[in-house]
Amino acid sequence: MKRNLGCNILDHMVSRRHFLMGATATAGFGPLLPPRLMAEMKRDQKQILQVYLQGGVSQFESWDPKPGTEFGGPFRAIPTSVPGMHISELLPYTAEKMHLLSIIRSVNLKTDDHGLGRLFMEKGRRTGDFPYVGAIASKYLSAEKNPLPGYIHISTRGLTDHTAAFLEAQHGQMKLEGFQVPANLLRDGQRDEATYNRVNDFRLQLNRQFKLDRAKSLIDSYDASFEQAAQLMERQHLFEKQNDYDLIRYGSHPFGRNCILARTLLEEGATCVKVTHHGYDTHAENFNFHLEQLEEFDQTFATLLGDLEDRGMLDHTLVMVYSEFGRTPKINHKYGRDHWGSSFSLALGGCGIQPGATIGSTNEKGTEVANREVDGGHLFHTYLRAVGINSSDNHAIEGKTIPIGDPAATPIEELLA
Amino acid sequence: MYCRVTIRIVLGVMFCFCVDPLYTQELLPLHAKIDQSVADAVSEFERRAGPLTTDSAFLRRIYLDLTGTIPTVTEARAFLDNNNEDKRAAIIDRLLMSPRFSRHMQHEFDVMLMQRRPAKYVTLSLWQTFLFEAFRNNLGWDEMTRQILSADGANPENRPPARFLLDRDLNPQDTTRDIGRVFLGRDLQCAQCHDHPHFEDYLQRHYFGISAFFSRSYIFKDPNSKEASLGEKADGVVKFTSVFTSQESEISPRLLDLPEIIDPPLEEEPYITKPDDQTRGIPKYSRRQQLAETIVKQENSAFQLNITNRIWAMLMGRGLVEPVDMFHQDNPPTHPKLLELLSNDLRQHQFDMRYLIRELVLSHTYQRSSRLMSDVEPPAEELVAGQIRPLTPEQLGFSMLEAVGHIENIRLATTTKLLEEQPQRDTTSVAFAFEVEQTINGEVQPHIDAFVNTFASNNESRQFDATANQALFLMNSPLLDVWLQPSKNNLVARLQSIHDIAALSDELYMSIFSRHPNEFEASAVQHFLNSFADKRVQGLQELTRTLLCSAEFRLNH
Repeated sequence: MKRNLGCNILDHMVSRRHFLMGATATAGFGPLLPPRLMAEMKRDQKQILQVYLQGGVSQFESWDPKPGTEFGGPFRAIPTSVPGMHISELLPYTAEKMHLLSIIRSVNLKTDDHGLGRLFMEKGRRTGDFPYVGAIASKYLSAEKNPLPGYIHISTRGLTDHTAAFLEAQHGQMKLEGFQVPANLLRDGQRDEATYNRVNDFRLQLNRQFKLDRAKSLIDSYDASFEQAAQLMERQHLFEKQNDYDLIRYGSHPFGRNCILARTLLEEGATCVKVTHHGYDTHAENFNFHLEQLEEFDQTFATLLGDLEDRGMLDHTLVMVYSEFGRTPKINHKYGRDHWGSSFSLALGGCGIQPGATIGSTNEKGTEVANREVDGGHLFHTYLRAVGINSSDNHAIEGKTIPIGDPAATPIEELLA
Repeated sequence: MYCRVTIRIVLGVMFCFCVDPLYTQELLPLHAKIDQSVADAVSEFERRAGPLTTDSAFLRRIYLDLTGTIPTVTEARAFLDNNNEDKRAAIIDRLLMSPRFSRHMQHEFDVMLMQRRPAKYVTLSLWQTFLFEAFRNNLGWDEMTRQILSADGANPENRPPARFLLDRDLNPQDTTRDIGRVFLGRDLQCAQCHDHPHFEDYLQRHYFGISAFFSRSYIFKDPNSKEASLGEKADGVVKFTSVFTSQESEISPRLLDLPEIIDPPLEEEPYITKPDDQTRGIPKYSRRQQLAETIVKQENSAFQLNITNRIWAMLMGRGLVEPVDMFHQDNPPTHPKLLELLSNDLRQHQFDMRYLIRELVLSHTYQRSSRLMSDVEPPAEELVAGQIRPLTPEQLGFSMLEAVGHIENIRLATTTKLLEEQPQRDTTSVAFAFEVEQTINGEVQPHIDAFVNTFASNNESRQFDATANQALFLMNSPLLDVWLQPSKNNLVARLQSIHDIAALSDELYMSIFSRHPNEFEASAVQHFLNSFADKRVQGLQELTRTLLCSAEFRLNH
C-alpha cells in the first residue's frame, strides 16, 4: 500500500535545524530532546494540510501573474525565494517561502461549476461516489489509535460535505465551525466522569448486542463517531484562548485563528486538516476583493508554512493550496472575473513534493494551457503518491476492489520528490 | 346462483389445465412478482434467503419508511398484541392513508428535488405545503412533474411548484443537470467521463437537448411586486460544439434519444404578452411547456424507470440501479426485468406512487430480516436480507421526539383544544387527524431543523455520515435534556411512576425500540439504574438518553 518515498528517514523526520539545535544543546541526543521532537521521531505518520480558497482564487492574482498583457489586470509580478519564479505582488510573504512550494500552472478541469470543480479536485473523479483526499488520508495514514479524528475541516459555512463515500464513516470529515469551541462539546450540569463512563459502557454494551448477527460496518462507524467525540471532549484545550504571540503573527481574524488551530490539530495528530478561506468568488470587483482576501491569506499562510518548517513538520506533511477552479481571463463589466476551470493554478509543498518547481504553463495571455496539461485525476494521484499511498492500488471494500485513483490518470512524476 | 357457481367451477377447472406458467404469473399481484423475480436472480435462493422480520422489527421499519417516524408506544403495543394474520397488510393500508405518510413523502421528495437548497424566491412553507398536499391527494408523479416543470410562478396556484426552476435561478448548468438527475436518473454532466469521443458526443446531445427546452426562459422580476417568476422568449437557439466533429451546430429541444422537437414556424405576432422591462414574456409557443408534456410520455422510458428506481431505493435502502442518478450502459440494473415490470406497472397505474409503495412493502423482499444467517455478509444486490440504513435527519428527529413523548404531549393538548373549540368533532375522521398532525409539524419544526443542521450533508447520498459533531449533539445537546425532563405524560414521567423493573424496562423498550426487552436487557436496565442509587430521575434520564444514542435507534434495520 505505502510506497517508501524516503521522507521518513530519521534525518528527514527531524528537520536539520532542529537536529542541530538538539545536538548542540545536549551531548548525545535522546532523553533530553524537547518532548515534541521526541514525538516527531517516533512518528512515521504522514499528514496533509489543505488550504482551500473557496470560490476560486484568480490565477492571475496569485500563482500565474501576466502583468502587462491584455487580461493581466493591474497587479505586478514579484520575484520569489526561488530564482526565476514570479508570483503576484499580492503574495509578498508567501513569495519569500516559495522555496518550500511548487506551482502547477496547467490545470484544466473542463468545468466552470463550483460543485463539480470542488468534487473533481477532492475526489480525483468527475462524478461518482468516491472518497475525498482527506478521507483516504484518514483511512490509510492514520495510526491504529489516532488521537484525533483523521480528517478535520475548519470552515465557517455550509452543511458538511459527504466525503467518506464507501469508506467507513469515521474517515469522513469532522467539521469545526471555526476556532470556537464546537457545539455541544461541553455538557451543562450533572454528568461527572463516573457517570459519563457508565453511560458510555452501557451504550457500547447495547451496540455489541445489536451487532451480533448484523452487518457490522454501519454500527462500527457509529461507535467510531462517539469515540471521536470523546477524543475532542478530552482535548478542550484545543479550543482555549490562543496565545498573543501566535495571534500577532497569524492575525487575529478568523482565518488567522483557524490556521493556528490547524497547526495545533496537526501537531496533536490529526491526519488531514483542511482550512477553508471563504470568499474568492469575485464576479464583481475582482481586484479589490483579491487585494483584501489575499492580504489576509498571505501573511497567515506564510506564517503557518514557516511554523511547519521550523517544527520539522513539512517533512511529513503535504501542503495543498487549491481552489475548485480559477477565474476568467476576461474582465467583465463589473471589474469581476467569472468561473474558469480550463487554465488555472495551484500550489503544493512539503512531504513528497519537489520544492521550488514550476509545472506546466499557460499561454502568453493566460487563456489556455500551453503545456503539461493536468486535471483533477492527475492531481489526485500526485497528492496521494506524495504521502506514500500507491494511488494505482485498489480499495478493498466488502469483497470488491475499487481503484483508488482514476486508472485513466497518472501522477505528475516530475513533481514527486 | 346455482348456475353461476357451476360456471365458476368449470372455469376454475379449465384454468387448472390449460394455463401456462406465464399466464399464472400474470395473475399474481405485483408484490408476489417482485419476490419471484428476486428469487430467480439468485441461485439457491431458498437456502440463502433470510427469514421475514419479527412483528416488532417489521413494525418499526414500516413506520419509519411510510411515516418517517417510529410508532407511539400505544400503537406499538396495539400491533404486537393483535393476533390477526393479515395485520401487516392492514397496518400498511392504514399508514399509507395517514397524515404522517404525506409528511414523510414531503421530506423525501423535498430532498430529492431541492437537495436542501436554501429558499431563494419561493418560501419553504409554500413549497412544503405543495408537496404535502400532492401526497395527501395522491397526485401521480407524471402530473406532479408536469406541474413542477411547467409552472411559471406568476400566480398563487403555480407559485409553489415553480420553486424547482426559480430557486435554481434557472442557471443552465444546475437546471439541466438536475432535470437529468431527478427526472431521468442520468447525471448528464458525466459526459466527459468517457474516453470514447463518439459516446461523449452522444451524451453532449442529451445535455444540450434538455437545456434547449428552457434556454429561452428567464427570471423576470416584477418591477412593482419585486416578485420573481419565469418569462420566456419566442426565439433563440442553443448551439453546441461537438467534441466528435468539432463542428458547431444548433440543437432543438430533445429528450435523450427521442426525436428533436422542431419549433412551429414563427408567427407574425409570436407573443401572448411581449417581453419588456415591465412585462413578463409569454410566447404563443413555449418550449418549456414542451418539456413538461414530453418528459412524461411513454416513449420516454427513462422517466418511469427513474421514479421506480428511486422509490425502490427509498424503501429497500439501495436502488436497482445504484447510484440512482447513474442509469448508464456500463451500470445496468441488478434486476433489469423487475425494474421494467415495476415501471410499466406504475405507468399503467397512472404513476400512482402510493400503489407502487404499497406493493413494494407487501413483498417478502421488503419484509426480510436484517439479521444475517452466517458470518459472511451476502452481497446487497442479492436482496436475501434486509438492508440496514441510517435514519434521515427528519426520521431521526421525529422518532426521537416521538420516543421521549414530546410529540404525544402535543398531540393530546391539540386534540383537547380542538375538542374544546368544537365538541362535536369526529376525532376518528381523516380531516381531524390531518389537523392534529399539521399542528404537531408546525410546533416541532424548529427541533427538526436542528436535526437537519446537525445530521444532513449537502447532497442526497444514502451513505452513513456518522460524525463526531453528531455524536456530541446526541450525548450533550441541551435540547435533549429538555425533552427528558419529566413533564405530563412524557416518557421519563411515565418511567418515574413505574417501580417494577420488568414493567419499567418494557415501557422503555417499547417506547424507544418498539419491542419488548428480553430478560438480559431488563436486568441490564436494573443494573444501570441501581448505579444511580438515590438519583433516580437522573438515572432514568441517562438511561433514556443512552438508548436514544444506540445504534438500534439510529438505524433502520
